[in-house]
Formats: sequence, structure tokens, C-alpha cells
Amino acid sequence: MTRTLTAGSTTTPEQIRLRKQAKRGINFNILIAGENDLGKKTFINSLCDRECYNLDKWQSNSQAGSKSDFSINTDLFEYSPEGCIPIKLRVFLTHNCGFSLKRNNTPDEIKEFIEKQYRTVLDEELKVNRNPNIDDTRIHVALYFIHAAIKGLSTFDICMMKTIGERVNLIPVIAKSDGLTFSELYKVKEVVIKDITEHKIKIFNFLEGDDEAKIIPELESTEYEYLSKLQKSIPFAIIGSNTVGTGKLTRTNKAGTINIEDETLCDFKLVKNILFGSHLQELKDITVQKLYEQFRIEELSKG
Amino acid sequence: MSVEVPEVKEPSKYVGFDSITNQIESRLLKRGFQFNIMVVGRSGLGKSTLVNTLFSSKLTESHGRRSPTDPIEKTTEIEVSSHTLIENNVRLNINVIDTPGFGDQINNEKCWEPLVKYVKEQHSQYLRRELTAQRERYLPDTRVHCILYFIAPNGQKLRQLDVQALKKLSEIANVVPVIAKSDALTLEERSEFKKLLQKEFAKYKFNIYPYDSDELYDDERQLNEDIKSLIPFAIAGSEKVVQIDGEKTRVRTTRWGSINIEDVSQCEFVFLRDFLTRTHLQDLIETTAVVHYETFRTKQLIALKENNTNRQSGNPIPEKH
Repeated sequence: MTRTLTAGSTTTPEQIRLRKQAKRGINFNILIAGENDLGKKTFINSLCDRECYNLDKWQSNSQAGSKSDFSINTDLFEYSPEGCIPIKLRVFLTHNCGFSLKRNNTPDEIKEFIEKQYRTVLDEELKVNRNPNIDDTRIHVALYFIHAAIKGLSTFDICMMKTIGERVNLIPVIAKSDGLTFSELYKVKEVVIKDITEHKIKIFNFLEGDDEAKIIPELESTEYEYLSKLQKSIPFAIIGSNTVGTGKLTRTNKAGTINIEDETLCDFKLVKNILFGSHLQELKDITVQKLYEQFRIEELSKG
Repeated sequence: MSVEVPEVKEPSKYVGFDSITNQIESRLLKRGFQFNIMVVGRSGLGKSTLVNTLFSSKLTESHGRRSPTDPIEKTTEIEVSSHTLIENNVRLNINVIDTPGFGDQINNEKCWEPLVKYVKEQHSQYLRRELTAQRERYLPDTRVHCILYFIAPNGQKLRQLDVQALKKLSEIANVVPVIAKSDALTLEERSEFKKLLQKEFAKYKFNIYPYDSDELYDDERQLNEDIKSLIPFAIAGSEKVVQIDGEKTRVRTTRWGSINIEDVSQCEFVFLRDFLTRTHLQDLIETTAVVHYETFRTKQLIALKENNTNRQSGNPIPEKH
């Protein structure tokens, strides 16, 4: 079928480009890590506003096979809101992370998993006849779900976050924050930041530019304000919705209803805007241009 | 052979020995009572808050965080804080035994061992004092009378950690399991979770307090049955006091609104408090002495006897744990 551009036609070259882009979609790979029952699947459902994961409680715990073994499950979802290019979301979700009594190997296993995605790309790159259209499964961002405690991060969380933060853009979130009072949430955020600083855990810094220079406050003040707001809100307090697909992202139970997109109640909206809006491309770029390159240098220097 | 039961006679005129209960009471009031309670559970479940709420006093503080200089493999610690509370002339000496680090390590395989060791050490100390020729008149009692075990409100089966710890702990002390932060669950989720936990307890055959005994009166036995159907108690704690209708009540306010801790339709804090302080306080102390301590004592004394006979006959002394 030939398409001819005639005067008065409503199809412009730009529209053709946009249509092609929309068809291809944007790839985005996200690692969701954290212990069991912290609302990781609910979060993805809320993010995409549909039931990506079936949350039938009683089923999930009696799955046949290894009941307490750590694994990472991969799923592909498409997020295509009105008027935007669809995002092809690849979700790596941990299962039984930290569930068993002896979990010394879990940080190593997650490190191996992250590096495997890098290695796949590297191996393909080094081939003579390489496939340029290989699926890029490099993880662009990792969200680590923290179980809120006024005492701060547990040893396990510290270890996991340190490991993940070395190889991936790491964003810490506080799970199930609707269970906390406002003053508790404030204390938890404070103590988590202290722990992250003291234990030198590498997390994604919104105020660092691409070349590690701090973003200058004088330039682009609204952007600076936005980025400061994000940086100040770390770790992000998440509440998951149990009314996905109904048009309103809320959490309801007998006591009432909370609108999780209300920024005064939780940071869900901030996180969604970071992942699908303001920082989607930046997270991808940093992964490809910095983190992957770092891995590449280390791998090739080994040989 | 039948034992002669002495005939029960009522004195023809009032003698007055029934005042012995008052005499005992005034003696005991002077001495005060000792209650040792251990709280067990991973961090973030509101253990310190609950203890403070139970006794309406600031007894524990949520302690320090991990510092970067701490070794990566820590063990569960034991922190004892002692307090004396007084209510209507009755003095209660409380030892609150906190267990920071429980369940928080990377390798949790033996995280209950320091707890078991502590409980046994208290029995051991008491036994040694008891067996001393010149012993104190009133032996200081540091034996653990009650272990409050906190279970996370996630609606799932017991974690491996909880199964192992509950098994080991309920063998040596009175264990009272509670569902922590139960305000995170709806009422239906709560009763479903309770039923599931009760099944789990039965499945693993945990010896959960209160225990059956021949010495109980019928109404006591009925009370125990009622308690058993409630266990594990679904609780929430709060140190925030608010005036509602002129009365001071403790509330917990989240984005969902406020819950009144003392309202039994919202959480079972009141049941737990009454259970621990108003109905079973004496029994907890007594059962520790009469059941758990006795079991320990018997084992130790038999082992001692065996060691002695082995020594006499020149046999190698077997290792006894």
C-alpha cells in the first residue's frame, strides 16, 4: 500500500515518525527487589493501572515446587496511556527474597542476575556477526522495598542495597507506608537516609548531572526545585492500590479510602513520574553509558 | 489402699484464721512482686511501643541502629531494663528483656539461641542459689515468666524463622504469640489470619500458654478456653494520648484515620493487657516456677547425679547440654 503525501493530507512526516515510534514503543527494564509481602506486585499493578499480577493470597503461598527458594521472575507488560508512546515494561521481580533462614547467598545471586543482563549484551557485542536487535534486558532502574522500622535498615537490606547499588540505578522505597503515622514515616525516612550515608550505599542521586557535576541551582530553577523535591523525599513512601482499572487509583477498606495519587499522603505519584516521565530516558542513558561501560571495562580487563 | 481424707469441720465459734489471706497479702505487699517479660520479634513490629502501652509507662526505648563499625554477622542481643511500678500500694518490679537483632541478620539460622541461653541461665542461677547451703531468704527471681512473640501481619503462613523460634521457646517458657501492627489488616483479614496461625500452632504442636492443669476450677478452665480461641492476640500499640469525651485514650492515627487502642472492636490490646496483668499474672509467674523451672531442675539434678556416679565408678562423664 503506497502512501502519497498530497496537499491537504492530514498525515505529516512527523506523524509518520511518531506512529512508527509508537509502534516500536520504549523499552524499560525495572528490577523490583525486597522481602515477601511488601506490596511489590501491587506496586506494579498500581503503576500500570491494571492487574498485571494476580494477587490471590492463598494461592501464592502454596505454589508447587521450591517453597522458600529465592528466584527472580521476569514478566513483560505494556503501559500505554492516552496520547503517550507505549512503554514496554520488563519487570524483574524477586520471589522469596530473604525468606529462608540462611540468606548469605542472596546478595551474590542478585549480583549475578544483574551482571548476566550486562554480559548478554557484551557477549553479543563482541561477536563478529552480531545481532543488533537483540533484546536489551539491562536493568535500567532497581526499586528496593524496605520494611519500615524506626531502628533503620536491617543487615540484610544494607547488604542487598549495597550490592544492587553498585551495578544499577537504585531507588529505595518504603513499603506499605499507610501503616505508619506521619511522625513515624518522618523518623523512618530520616533513619534510612542516615543508614544509607553511613554504610555508603550508592543510590540514585537526582541532583547529580550526567557528568557527575551537581546541577547548578541558578539555572532552570523550576527543574532544580523539582529535582530537590525528589531528592528530599528519598526514600519514597509507597502505598499500593487495590482498585486498579477502575479509573481511580485508590486503596480502600472498611475504614475508608485513600487516594494513592495524592502527594500529601504518599510518594507514589512522584515515583510514577520519575519512572515513566521525567527520568525514564536518563535512567536508561546512565545504565547504558555509565554502568554498562563500567561493567564492560571490568569484564574485559579480567581476560 | 484408700487415703483417709480428714473430715471437714466448721468451728462452732468464729476463730479468725481466715484472716491469713490478709496476713499473706500484707507480707507480699511489703516485698513486692517480680515479673520478667521478654519481647521477641524482628525490628519494626512495635515491641517497645507495646510494652510501654501495656504498662502505661515508658519502660523501653527503641535502641540504637546498626553502626557501620559493627561486624556484619551479629548475634541477637539481650538487653534487660528494670523498673518498679506502684499501683494502689502494690509494688511490681518488672524486668523487660529486649532482644535487638532477632531475625534481622543475614543468616538467621541460630538467632534464637541467645534467647534460649538466657532463659536457661536464669533457671540455672536460681537453681544454684537454691542449692547453696547458706542461701538468701528470698531468692531474687530473674526467670523469664512470659515471652511475647511478635508475628508480622502479612496474612501468610509462619516463616521458617517463626516456626523454629516458637518451637524452641515454647519448650522452655510461657510463650504468648501476638499479631503485631494488626491495624494494617481489615477485620476479616485478621480473623482469617488468626485461624491460619492457630492451625499452624496445632500443626507444629507448639506448647502455647495457657496450659491445661488439673488444679483449675471450672470457671478458670472456661476462661483459658476463651483465651485460647483468641490467641494470637491482634494488637496495636500507641504512646500517643488524646482526650476523647474528657477521657484520656490512646490512639493511633494513620492516613486511614484514628483507631482507639482500647476499643476492643478495633484491636485486642485490652484483652492482652487484662490477660497479662489482671487475670494471668500470678499464673504466669507460678507456671514458670512450677512447670518450666521444675523441668529444668529435674534434668540438671539427674545429670548431676549421673555425673557423680560416673565419677565414682571411673566412667567418662557424658556431655550433657
